[in-house]
Amino acid sequence: MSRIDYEELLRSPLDDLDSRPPSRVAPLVSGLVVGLLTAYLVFTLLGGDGGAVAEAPPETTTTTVTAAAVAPEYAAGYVEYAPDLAARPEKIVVEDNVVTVAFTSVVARGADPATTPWPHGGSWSLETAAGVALRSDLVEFGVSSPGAFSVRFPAATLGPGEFDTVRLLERWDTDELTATVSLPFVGEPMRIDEPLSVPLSEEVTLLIPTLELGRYQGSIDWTISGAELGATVTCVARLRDGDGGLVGTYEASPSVDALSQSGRIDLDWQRPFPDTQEGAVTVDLEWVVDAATATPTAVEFSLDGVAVGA
Amino acid sequence: MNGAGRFGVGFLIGVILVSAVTTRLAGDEATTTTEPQTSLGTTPTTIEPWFEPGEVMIGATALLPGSLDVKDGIVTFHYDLVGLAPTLVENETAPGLAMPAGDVLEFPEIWQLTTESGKTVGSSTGPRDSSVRFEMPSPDDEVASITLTGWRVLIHIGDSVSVPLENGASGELRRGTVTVSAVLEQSISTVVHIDFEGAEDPWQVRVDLRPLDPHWNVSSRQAGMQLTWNGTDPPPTIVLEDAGYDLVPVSGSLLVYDAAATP
Repeated sequence: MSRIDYEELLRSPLDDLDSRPPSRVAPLVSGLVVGLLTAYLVFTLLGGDGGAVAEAPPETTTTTVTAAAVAPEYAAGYVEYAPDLAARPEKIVVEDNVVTVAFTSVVARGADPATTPWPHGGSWSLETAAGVALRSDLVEFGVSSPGAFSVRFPAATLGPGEFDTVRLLERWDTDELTATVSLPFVGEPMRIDEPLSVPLSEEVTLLIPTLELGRYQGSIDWTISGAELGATVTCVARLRDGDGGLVGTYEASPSVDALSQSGRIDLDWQRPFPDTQEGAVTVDLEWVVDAATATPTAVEFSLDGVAVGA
Repeated sequence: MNGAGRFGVGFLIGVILVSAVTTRLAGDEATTTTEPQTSLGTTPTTIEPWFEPGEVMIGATALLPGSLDVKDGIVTFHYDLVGLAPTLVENETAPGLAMPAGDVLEFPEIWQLTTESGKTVGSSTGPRDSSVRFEMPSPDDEVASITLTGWRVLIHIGDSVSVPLENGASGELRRGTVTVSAVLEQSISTVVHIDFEGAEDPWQVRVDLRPLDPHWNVSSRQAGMQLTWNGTDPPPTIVLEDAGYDLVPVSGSLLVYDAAATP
């Protein structure tokens, strides 16, 4: 390895600076750098613009909207008219001397449609844009669903397009009264010789003038006292043997019954119990009476946009 | 210009540059400070589902979309209906829902399918259906969306008619004609046959005749019913009521299937 080569490896480009002619640009660059530093220090120490930035942070208000879902209590368009229950007018039917407003009803969010009580009737007012108010004379239900009901208004002179509002003035809720009566059973057909009186409360008494339990069917006539607005009555008849064991049951098909002061219950012998009533010595008559009571209220339903037809 | 002069010129340029930059920065910050900016999001429009995510509400009835099958040019869209109406009996048709199911009061009827190429084809369903079928307009096209454009709402309109208890006597209900077709006097009872003739309407789902007087024993007959009166002295007229339902049509537009939003 030669000496020159070794020195060349260690050589710096700066080693030759002193031997170069003086630069014309160097004073200008040096001044620029010193000027930049001086100006920066002056602005900082005197609380200039740089200080203003530090003292006044940006007051930016940012509203972040999350996609939270709305949870309404009732389906759209429904108005609450009883606890956990709302209704909506669907159609107005105009006939010769009667106007009928048909409603559908729904339960509140989370409520059980099978157990939520629904009013069996009420007093309603149908009001026109001209200020005429008609009082209802009947609230009717279809046979199988309490979610569809109609309110009837006697009206001789009203025509389409005049309806403005329908208002619930008084709601007929029901109090559930129960009782069980045991009778001896000596074979079918079983009949009672004398009317059966079933006290349900201090005011309400159920009277059974006729009762018959046959091979496959049964029937019970009833009247109610102490329930001015009427009642609905259901009964399950359970046949029992001498040890209290269940032999079989008569039950009625579920149906929406109208409030009444009297009525008839049609019963069917239920299977898959033994096909005969053999062995039964008593019958337990389990009564459930829904007696109507009036609750004053003021719930308004707009009829704007509700279809009117025949 | 000598070296000192050049240094001075550089110094001045440096001071001017720093002043310009800091002034600009201060101006920007001042604007931000004096005019707070508010960033607004979009208004939420989603409704928490009543029964399960993906449901489409038809009034008070939820349509729960099911599978979409395409085979040999036939599209079949399956669905379930779950209601919010009060009910006499517990419904167990759709377990695992967020809340118990009630009676169904709305039923899909008129549908429209739109293909990826923009063609549309219609179809219809009845009250007891749980699927709708479409014929694809061309075999190489695909389903883009399905929209429900018409449905029915179940309502009850009270209706009754009084009919003399005579052979051939008839009366008009809103949904049809009742006729006393036979009065049969037995030794200890009277049997009456009632015929009913209604309109040919597939949506007339439930004509439910019953006598207002509960002392008539009711049993069904083909095209009508049989009433039995215990005794030979039945009332001279019989009042029959229709305790059934009407299904009234409603128009609208509800998107029930969107291929772009389906994984």
